[in-house]
Amino acid sequence: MILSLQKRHRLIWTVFAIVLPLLFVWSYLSIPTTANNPTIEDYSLLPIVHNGIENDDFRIIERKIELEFDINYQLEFIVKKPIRQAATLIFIGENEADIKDKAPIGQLFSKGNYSFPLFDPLQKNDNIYLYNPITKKVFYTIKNNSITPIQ
Amino acid sequence: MSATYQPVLWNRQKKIYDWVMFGLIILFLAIFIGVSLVLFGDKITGETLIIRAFGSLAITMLHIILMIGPLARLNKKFLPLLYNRRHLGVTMFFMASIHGVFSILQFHSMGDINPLVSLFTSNVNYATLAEFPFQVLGFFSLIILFLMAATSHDFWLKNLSPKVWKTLHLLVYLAYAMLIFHVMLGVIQLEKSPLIVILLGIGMLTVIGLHLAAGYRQKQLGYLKEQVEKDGFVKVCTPDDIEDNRAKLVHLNGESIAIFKYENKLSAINNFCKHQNGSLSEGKFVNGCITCPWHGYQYLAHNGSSPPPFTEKVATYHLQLIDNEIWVNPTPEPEGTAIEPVLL
Repeated sequence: MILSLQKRHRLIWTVFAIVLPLLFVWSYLSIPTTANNPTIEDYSLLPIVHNGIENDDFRIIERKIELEFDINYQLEFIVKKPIRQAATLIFIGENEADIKDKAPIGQLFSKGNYSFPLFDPLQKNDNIYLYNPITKKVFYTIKNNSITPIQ
Repeated sequence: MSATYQPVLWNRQKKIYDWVMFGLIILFLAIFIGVSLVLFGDKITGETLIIRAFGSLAITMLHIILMIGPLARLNKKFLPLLYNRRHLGVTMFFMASIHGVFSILQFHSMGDINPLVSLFTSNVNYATLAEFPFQVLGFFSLIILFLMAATSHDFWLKNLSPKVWKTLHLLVYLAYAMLIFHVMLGVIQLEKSPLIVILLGIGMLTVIGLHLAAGYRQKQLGYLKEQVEKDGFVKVCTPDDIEDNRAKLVHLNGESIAIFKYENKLSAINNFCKHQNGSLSEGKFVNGCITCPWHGYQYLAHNGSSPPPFTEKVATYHLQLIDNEIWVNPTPEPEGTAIEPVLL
């Protein structure tokens, strides 16, 4: 390697030795510890109608808007861990077969907060199904009986 | 080394190199796919498995490719790995392409938007690392790797000129930096396990460490502690300081000179091979020729010319042997000038 090229290599790798580890650590530290999505509505305005459910993967809360709108309910989804699926649609129904005829209420991506409008509140027999449209399989079921109504 | 262009210059060593490489690639893919199926068999699709397996293979190969150069400069035992690194690089590009094409098919081709438009518009959170569109980094890296693979032939080296070609191929470092963050930012968005982050960090630090170690060691090579000069000649060392069929490197007046000891003779030629500026002083005297350790280009020791029909030539330098001390005149003679070797 000619001397000028040797010098260029040393310069590049000296810069890399400083910049790459710094960016690497910064990237790792940037993993959000709390979910954050600036597009969601101000939750403080929305009373909780259900306590919801919380496990290692999700926190799900159904809320009701007290003002008179066309859409009075909102399902709030907090994804705590990355979902190991290429695509995720959310369905609500009484059983898996039931969801084939329904439209999904929304889609989940990476970690974060998601909120979806609901025309009607969750019914007693409704379950929440997370469905992968590529594999065409339900990969996660959240039973409604695990969602506890508040008093 | 060839007087004409051929698509691939095969020889026995290159065939062995390539067979070992393909064997290891198959082994890597088999282990990766096997372990993935055992751990996530019911959750993973064939497309996802291909994307992950070939992506992991390509980034692993890139780390190995980037380690070969500094390893060969730190220890001559690694020089055989350098000999056919070109095939390793082109193969790595094909592995990365499979990863890239399947990723675009799986994540961007199922809508009514052009997949490449979707790649750049489906996520525009450039202001945040946690949601950064990491796929874009992979796309630009793949473009660089394509340009490198497409020009990875002596035809392009000759026609683009070594300076342009080398500059183009230095872009691999930019591609490497982008790929580190393509993987890193993808992993933090999509993976639960810290294993990949740890492996990637170790790989990155090893590559950086080896390049710095090789770079600063090379900086110290070939400089004399004190420069004794007489009648235009500079004292370098004694003949015993040079192994038979090997060279002593010395930098003088901006010249890099390789002084070879061979067949009880001494000759000095410019250190840099005309092919890709490989260091001839790290090469050997083989079959009557000085042989570049990088790709086997050869030069006659007494005149710095490649043996016919080849046309490469390097500068030569005058030597003297006085009281068992080798003295060299750092003023170069024109490339290919014959100079009578000094007899020992």
